[in-house]
Amino acid sequence: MKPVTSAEVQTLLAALVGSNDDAAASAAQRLAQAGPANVAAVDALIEALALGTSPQLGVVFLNALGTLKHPKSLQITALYAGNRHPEVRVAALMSLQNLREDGAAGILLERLGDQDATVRAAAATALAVRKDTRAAPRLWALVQRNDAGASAAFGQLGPLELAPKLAELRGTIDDSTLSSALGEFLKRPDAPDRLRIDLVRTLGGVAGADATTALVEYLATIPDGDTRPSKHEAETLIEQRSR
Amino acid sequence: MFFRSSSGFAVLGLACLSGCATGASVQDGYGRAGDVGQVTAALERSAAPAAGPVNSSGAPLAVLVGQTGSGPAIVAVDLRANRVIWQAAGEVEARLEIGRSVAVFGDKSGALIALNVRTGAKLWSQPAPPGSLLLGLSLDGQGVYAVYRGVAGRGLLVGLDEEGRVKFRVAIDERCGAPAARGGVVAVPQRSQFISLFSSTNGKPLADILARDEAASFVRGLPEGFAYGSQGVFVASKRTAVGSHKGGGYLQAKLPEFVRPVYHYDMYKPAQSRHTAIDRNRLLWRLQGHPETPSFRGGRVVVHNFRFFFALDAATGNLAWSYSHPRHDAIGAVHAGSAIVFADAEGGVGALDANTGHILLSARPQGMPATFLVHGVSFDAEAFAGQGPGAHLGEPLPQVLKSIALHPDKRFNDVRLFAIDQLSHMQDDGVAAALLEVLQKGSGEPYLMEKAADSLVARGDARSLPVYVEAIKVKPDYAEGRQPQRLDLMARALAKLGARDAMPLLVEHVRLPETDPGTVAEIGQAVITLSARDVLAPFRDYLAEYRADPAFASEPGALIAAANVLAKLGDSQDRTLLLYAAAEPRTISPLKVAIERLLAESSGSPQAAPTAD
Repeated sequence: MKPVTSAEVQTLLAALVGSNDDAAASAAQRLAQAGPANVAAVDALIEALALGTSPQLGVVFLNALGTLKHPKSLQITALYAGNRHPEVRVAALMSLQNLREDGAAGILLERLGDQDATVRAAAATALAVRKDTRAAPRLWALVQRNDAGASAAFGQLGPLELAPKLAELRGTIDDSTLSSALGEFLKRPDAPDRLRIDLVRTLGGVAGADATTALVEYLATIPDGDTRPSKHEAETLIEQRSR
Repeated sequence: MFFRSSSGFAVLGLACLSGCATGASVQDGYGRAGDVGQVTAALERSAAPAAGPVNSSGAPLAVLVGQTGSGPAIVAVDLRANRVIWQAAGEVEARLEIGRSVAVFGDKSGALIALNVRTGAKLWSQPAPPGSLLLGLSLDGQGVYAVYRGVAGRGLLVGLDEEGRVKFRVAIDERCGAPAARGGVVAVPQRSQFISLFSSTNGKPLADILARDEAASFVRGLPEGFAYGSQGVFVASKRTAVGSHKGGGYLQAKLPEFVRPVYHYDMYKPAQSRHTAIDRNRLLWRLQGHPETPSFRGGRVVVHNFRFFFALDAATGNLAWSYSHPRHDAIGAVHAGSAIVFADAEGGVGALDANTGHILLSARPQGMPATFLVHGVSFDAEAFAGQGPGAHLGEPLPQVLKSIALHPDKRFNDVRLFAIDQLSHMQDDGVAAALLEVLQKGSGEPYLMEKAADSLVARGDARSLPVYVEAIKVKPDYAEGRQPQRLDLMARALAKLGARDAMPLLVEHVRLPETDPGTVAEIGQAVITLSARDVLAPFRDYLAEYRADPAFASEPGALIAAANVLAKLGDSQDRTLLLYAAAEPRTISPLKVAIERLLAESSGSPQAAPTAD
């Protein structure tokens, strides 16, 4: 791929802030290819966002900025993480997911409290990718409120001792939310098999395809030749459910 | 049997001015209605009862009627001992009244059923005249008096002693109402215009009071004397032998809009002799002073509105105290002189100090059936005083009003509005916090919240400042169940209070997605009002971030407000930003126009302003 030169960056910046949306979007995508070392490309995208644009282009610019993963983008991305449009906030959070700075984590944690479910889900996913266990208490609060977008992340980040309490939520939260979270707990290498058996049995009592999917996905993570008892338990339950 | 005779007196009946029946004439036997001498003599025959309950045990009683698991039941409670003293099966149709040795009610057939007031055992019954309709009954400790309609085309007043022996039967006007007895005299409303007074010994007619200015739909035999009226209260005396509003002896309380001015039951309506919703939505009052110059006791009336009680100054309508009964409606209540005594829908009983509103009693009496759906209650609790189980001072008035304002039941929207209105006029500590809580947690009709909002802003009470500061520190958070706040109101209130130091906290909300554009505009206005030049950064970001957002094209107010903040308080860099936004093609048109206007209005002012941030 042809590298983005400094001269080209100036041209692309003009396109970013120009009145042609297609040209602006193309310019952003081109800048995303410049690589994190190209600070001028990062600056161009930051400047375009700082001067303001439409929500649609804002999403494109933020995606491009996220691709570059440059710490300079933290401040402007943080600003757009508070944008009025949920799709813009989601783009900002996905961009923040790639930044190692602690400030990025703070914003992601804050957006777990967003009023929009898609934004909360994006924040949860980003925190799970970052393996940031500080999110666990807020994710647990969300799961207790039946927030489907938080369930997988909670299963990945939540303390194992909360898994039994999660199982106790059966009947008070949606089966899909419960199954997703339990399924993620099952897959964790740090989970003792005794706990896994309990979770498998809980999933066995949950009706619907989501619980079956969680069991199947769990079996798929078990290496060949592994004879752990929870595997046998899951296989038995799947067999029973398929009858 | 006595029949009223016509005589040749001149016509005394005067046309009613406000909704009462037609005037009397010599032909219908009311020729001497309003005769001061007769009325005065009749009233003098009525002796005030001894202070305290009428029943021979002397215990203050509440008799609850309703449905238990095993059927209709009547349950008598000794309020002083807080225990059930007897329970009897029985379906009460006409409201039960309590005498010296009996408690009497009307059943579905119109028969009078008498129970032993100490044991609940049935003592006697008196069937209704064939084809008649029981309008109601009254006891005065000396006898039992009932009025029937439809007896050979006339009304009938029946007097019995407490053993069930008939003392007299008197034919009365067909257009008659339920009786009220007091110490030797029985009063019966007739033709909506007359209160006829009879001897309770032999039924001899004594006099007719003429209600001239308003219908006489009720008459009460209180320890203080007889009182009658409909839209207000005439206290029976020689001054009210002919009742007129300007003649003296007439009382009418100033009431808030939500109050139905029901001073007593409409005694002409048979339905109101039964336990109905009127039992729990009416005025409670007593009298004081000489009957010719009376006033409401303590200068107040008490509004009973389902589960709420409000003591109001009768002259001004000002609220003296309030009580909100938890969980259940107060199914019936009585003003027992020094206390308001009530029972609730689940068999609980309570009493409030009529002067202070302090809770004298709040308990479920011992022996109350586990399942008891109470339909109504009658009391013999005159002069109830002292403290029983559950007695305490009660919540401070702002707290009571707050709890009422937050009540989720839509039935009480008008009461909630009243509570908010009252809060808004109070200067007590904690009122601003209470109003704020109503705003944050309140639900229901928007006008209720608007009322609370307006009240809050209008207060301008500097003591409220810490409440607002604490409130604006809180940010909405779904995970923690925190909803967006009414920051628009807080912005207005803070501006009114001159709270410039609170602006940094307030403007943080401009950057939050949950802060709606209208609120941003209010925050901007507060910043301008307080010339808070050190908090402009969020407005710069807001203007830049949304200047090209088509969502603002139809409602650009928040963006214009942000531009206004920068134009009025900003520096040269802000002017540059405004010029850029005005010139840039993507900027929405209304904003461009507004910026050009703002720049023209403030020509030079941004540069002249001190550099901030």
